[in-house]
Amino acid sequence: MALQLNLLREEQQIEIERRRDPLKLGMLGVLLIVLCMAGFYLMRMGEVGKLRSKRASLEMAWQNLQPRFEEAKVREVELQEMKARADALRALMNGRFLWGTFLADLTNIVPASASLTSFSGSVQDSKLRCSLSGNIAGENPRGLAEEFRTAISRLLNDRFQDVEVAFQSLEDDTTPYIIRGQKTSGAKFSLTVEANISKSDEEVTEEGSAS
Amino acid sequence: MNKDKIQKIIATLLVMIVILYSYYTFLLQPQGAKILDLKKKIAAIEEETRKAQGLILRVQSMEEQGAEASDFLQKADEFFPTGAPIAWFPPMMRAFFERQGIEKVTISSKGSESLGGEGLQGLERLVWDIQMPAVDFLKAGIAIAGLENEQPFASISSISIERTNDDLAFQRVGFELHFTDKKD
Repeated sequence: MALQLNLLREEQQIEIERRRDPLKLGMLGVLLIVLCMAGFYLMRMGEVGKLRSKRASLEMAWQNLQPRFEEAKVREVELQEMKARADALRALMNGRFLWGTFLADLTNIVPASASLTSFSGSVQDSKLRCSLSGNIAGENPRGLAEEFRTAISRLLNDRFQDVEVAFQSLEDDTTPYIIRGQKTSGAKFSLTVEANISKSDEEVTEEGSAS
Repeated sequence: MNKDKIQKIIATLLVMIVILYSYYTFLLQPQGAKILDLKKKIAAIEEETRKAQGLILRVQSMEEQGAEASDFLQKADEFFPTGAPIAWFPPMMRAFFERQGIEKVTISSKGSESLGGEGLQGLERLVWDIQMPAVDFLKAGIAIAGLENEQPFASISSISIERTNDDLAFQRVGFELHFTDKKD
């Protein structure tokens, strides 16, 4: 085995020591980390730039949209007010109790041998109240009066709720009645009528759209 | 490891800590706050834009109903004459009943009241007492039906029909009429 002499050993040792200098290695490490951090920072700056340009384009779109939006806000209030007024007027119009129709229907069911002497009626808080009185003639005047009462009840039951038709009085009348030349007995009657005429919102709306 | 090396390692670590702290405090944190702020602003603009577009579309769809309501209100306006009601209402009613063949009608005001509720602002209810001292019941009935048809904002709140003692062919008819009108 040949003998080798290393005359540069000390210099090499110094070189190794220099290379393994913790301050130098540490600084290199720090530099590497700083480079990584700078890269990350720059990447995030890119994100900031993208967000800024997105915001700018959105703001531009908003600038274009804003006048239409302001106009729409005003118009919405106008339209809502208009609709509320139209709905309220329709409800007012369709919520009426039509006396013309009621009187016509009532006239149609008054028996031929009866005559009404007075009629009064009122509508308040969706409640119809009527009172009517008259005379009725026939072989069985009380029976005819009852038929008239049930006829009124049927008429109102078809349209309204909580209908009550009751006799306030029903008395035999001593006055002679003559029907088709024949004497017959008669009675005086007085009736009260009550009914709930409130309409559901659906009914009012249906009538409103129909009108 | 000698003392010099330990000192160098500690110095390096200190430098590292200072750099990391400065990086986080002076660069990363403000940048993060900026990103968060931008994202918030973008979300707010997007939300506002979405709301605005929704409202614009809603108003466009409401326009159809609005046209129908406007048409209805225009027609309704024709039933609200201008001027003091006492000046136009009695002649209008008298003319109406004359057209129906009913004369000698007395019309008197029983006051007025404001209408409340949504959509009824600016409207009032005029209360009128209408009396027909002697009228054929059928004629009166037809006239009442005609009045209710011709005047959609008139409603009868109470009515009374009585036989007159003078002539059995005629009745005394009276009713209270509520007439909706615009306030002056």
